[in-house]
Parts: sequence; structure tokens; C-alpha cells
Amino acid sequence: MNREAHIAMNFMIYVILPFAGLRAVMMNYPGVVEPFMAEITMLYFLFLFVLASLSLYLRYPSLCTVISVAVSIVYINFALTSVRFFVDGAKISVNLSAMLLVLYILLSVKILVSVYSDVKQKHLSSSAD
Amino acid sequence: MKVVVTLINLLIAALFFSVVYSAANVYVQFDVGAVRGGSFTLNGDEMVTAVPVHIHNGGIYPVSDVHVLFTMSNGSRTVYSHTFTIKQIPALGDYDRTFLLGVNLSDVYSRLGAGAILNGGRLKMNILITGHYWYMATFTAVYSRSISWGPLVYSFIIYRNELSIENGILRVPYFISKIPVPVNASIDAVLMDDGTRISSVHQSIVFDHKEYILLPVGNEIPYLLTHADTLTLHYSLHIFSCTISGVEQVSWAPPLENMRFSEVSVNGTPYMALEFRNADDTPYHVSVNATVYMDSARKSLSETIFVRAGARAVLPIAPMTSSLRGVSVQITVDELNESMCMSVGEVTP
Repeated sequence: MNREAHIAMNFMIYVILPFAGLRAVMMNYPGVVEPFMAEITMLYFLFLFVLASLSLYLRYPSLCTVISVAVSIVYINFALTSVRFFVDGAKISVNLSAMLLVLYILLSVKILVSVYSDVKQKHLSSSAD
Repeated sequence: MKVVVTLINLLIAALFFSVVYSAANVYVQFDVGAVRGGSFTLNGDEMVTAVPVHIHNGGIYPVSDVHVLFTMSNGSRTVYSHTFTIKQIPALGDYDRTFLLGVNLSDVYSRLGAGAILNGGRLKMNILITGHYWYMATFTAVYSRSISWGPLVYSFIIYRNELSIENGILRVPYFISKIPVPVNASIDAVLMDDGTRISSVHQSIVFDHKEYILLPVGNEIPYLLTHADTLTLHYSLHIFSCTISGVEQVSWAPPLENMRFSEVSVNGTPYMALEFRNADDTPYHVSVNATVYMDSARKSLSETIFVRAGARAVLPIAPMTSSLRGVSVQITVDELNESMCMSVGEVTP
């Protein structure tokens, strides 16, 4: 797959799909995501798209992965404090620590895979030289 | 490798958004109108009310181990709590159930205290729901509703001016009305006159009827039959494990008043007479047994007179001659079955 196809696929994953999903949520459940939160979400995904596209041109794409993980952690925590769990007349608290733990593990795996990929690529390049 | 990273990205996004979306799409509706409106049905000494609950799980994960905890509290004191458990509410599913809350009055009032029995108050009803999504998220929802709690006893009257005496018993009328639940109650009453304990009693309470606290006052009858007095009634009303104490000043109006010996003229002859007035609003038959002491003889006289309500009676007993030494009389009010004695002059028992 060439770079243009990758960029197109990334555009689909990081821009089109999140935008469609977010729009559907906001249309069907107007109270869940506030407009400001929606803007932040789209900026986050745009940033991920930029990083994913940029990684195609870098010698060490794992650098983009590490940045995207850091941004993701910030975004997730921000999102969880902003989402309103709306039940009429109730005080709601939602404990998502189990989910966050799984997410952090997945993000760590993502970094490891990415770094491993870079190291392997560099090793292959050295061998070719 | 890029495929793996992309898959992880998708997994993260799917997990994050689906859990948050699910957590945000639980709707819970309670109808506590029945509780607020005091719509309770009775089951023994339990007051039962219905709280319909509708839970809609709009998320894509089932909600498991849902606990619905109902509590009623008065300030910091919890007077009722009960937990209902729902094993699972399926994804995109509804759960409808009417929870029946059985409030044991004995328990509640033992915690609310005596003040609530007469005054009622406001209670805070908290509904705490806990549950979890797929072990990824646990949520807690707390609903608070304020409900009015009416008094158990809403009328407690002692008819202070309607005391009566019969067969040596002072009858203090009272009326206690309460909500229609079976309640056992008793009263301790102590009757005092100028700091002196006259009588005391412990008896069961009859609700919703005009009833009497019955105080034996045998030794006080002669005095109370003819003398007005202000008595002090100390009472302790025991309901459930609560005690309501109070003091009432009660007025005693004697059935006969102005009882005295006097001099009257009968056909020009002066007579010693017994004179009194029926101060009550009912007529009485008054029996008078008199003993007339003369120089060397005694003479007995028995008479029953009918005295209308409010009427004055004058009963000539003996001519006032030089041989008259003294007179003693025993006066009995037949309707009350009460007697008293009076004497004047030199009287030999």
C-alpha cells in the first residue's frame, strides 16, 4: 500500500468515522456531549490523523505514536470529566478506573509495538547496508 | 506492524466510546408520588407504599448487579432502609418494577423519637442505585426526594373541665386520635394537688374514642364532693418505645357546693337545716342520714331528696332548742355512689 492510500485510510479512520459517530451521538442524545467537548474531540482526531500521516514520512514513526499516546491520555481524562451522565434529578458518579486501566495497557502495547517496529526496521536497514 | 497499531487504535476507540456512551445512556425514572402523597396501605403495623421504577439501559453492555437502596432519614438518622437487587438489565433493554416498601412503624418511631409521634415532619428519601457495565465501569446514582411524614397521633385532648367522680374514681376524659394503624399504647398518670400526690394509675389507651383516665381518689372524695379545686395531672404516654410526657392543670367543679348547716324557720320555729346547691348539670338524688344529739337522747333521721340541676336544697333536720347539742350527717349522692360526713356541735362518735 502506498503512502497516499495510507493517508486516505487514516483520513477515513481518524476523521470521517469519528465525525460521523460524534454527529450521530449529538443528534440522538443532545445532552451527552457538549459542543465544546465535540470540538475538542474533533481536534483530537484531526491531530491523530496528522500524526498518523506524518509517521509515514518519518524515519522513526514511533515518535508520532508516543506523542499520540500522550495526547490520548490527556484527551481521555479530559473527556471523562466533561461527559455528562444525565439521569433526571440524580447525582451520578461513574467509576471508569477499570476501563482506564485497560486503555492504558492498550496504549502501552501500542507504544511497544511501534518502537519494536522501528527497531526492527532499523535493523533491517543496517543489514541491507 | 502498522496494521497492529491501527487495530489497537480501533480497539481503544471502540472500548472508550462504547463504555462512555453506555454509561451515559441509562435512564432511571422513579415515581415517589405515592410516598409524598401519604398513599400508604396498612399491613399490620407496617405501612406499605409502592414506588414504580423504570430503568432503561440504552447502552450496548448489560448492566449487572444493580442494587437499589431506599433509605429514609430524618437529618442524620436513618429510620428505614431496604435494598432491592436486580441481577441484570440487558443491553438496549428496559426494566420495570414496582418496589413495595414496608415501613415498620415501631422501628421508625423508635428511631424518629417521641417528637415525631405528635408533630410529624419531613423525611429525606434517598434512592441509591449502583451497578456496573461489563466490569469496565461502575456507576452510582443518588436520588433525593423530600417527603412529608404526618404525625401518628394527630389529636390528644384532655377535657380539663369535664372531670367527674364515680365510685371513688376520678374520671378524666381524653380523646386521642391517630392514623388507622394498630398501635398499643399506655399512659401513666399522676394526680397532684398542691404538690401532694393524690393518686396514680397505669392503664391502656383507647384510641379514637372519648375515654377516661381512671384515678382512684377514695380518701379525697369528701373534699372533692363539695369543694372546687385545681388539680395537676402529670402524664406519660407510651407509644412504641417512645414516651410523651406532659402536665395539665385540670379544674375540678364539685357536684354539690355551699354545703353547710344553717338556721331556717319552719312555721315560725327555728330549725337547724342542711343547705347545699346541686352545681352539676344533672339532677341528683341525695340521701341524708342525720343523727341529732340532744341532752339525753339521740334521734335519727333519714331522708332522700331530689335536687334538680343547679337547684338549691334546704333540709330541716332538728328544731333549735336548748337541748340540742349537735348534729352529724352522712350525705350520699346516689347517682355517684359517693358519701361524705359533716357534723356540728357536740357529737359523740
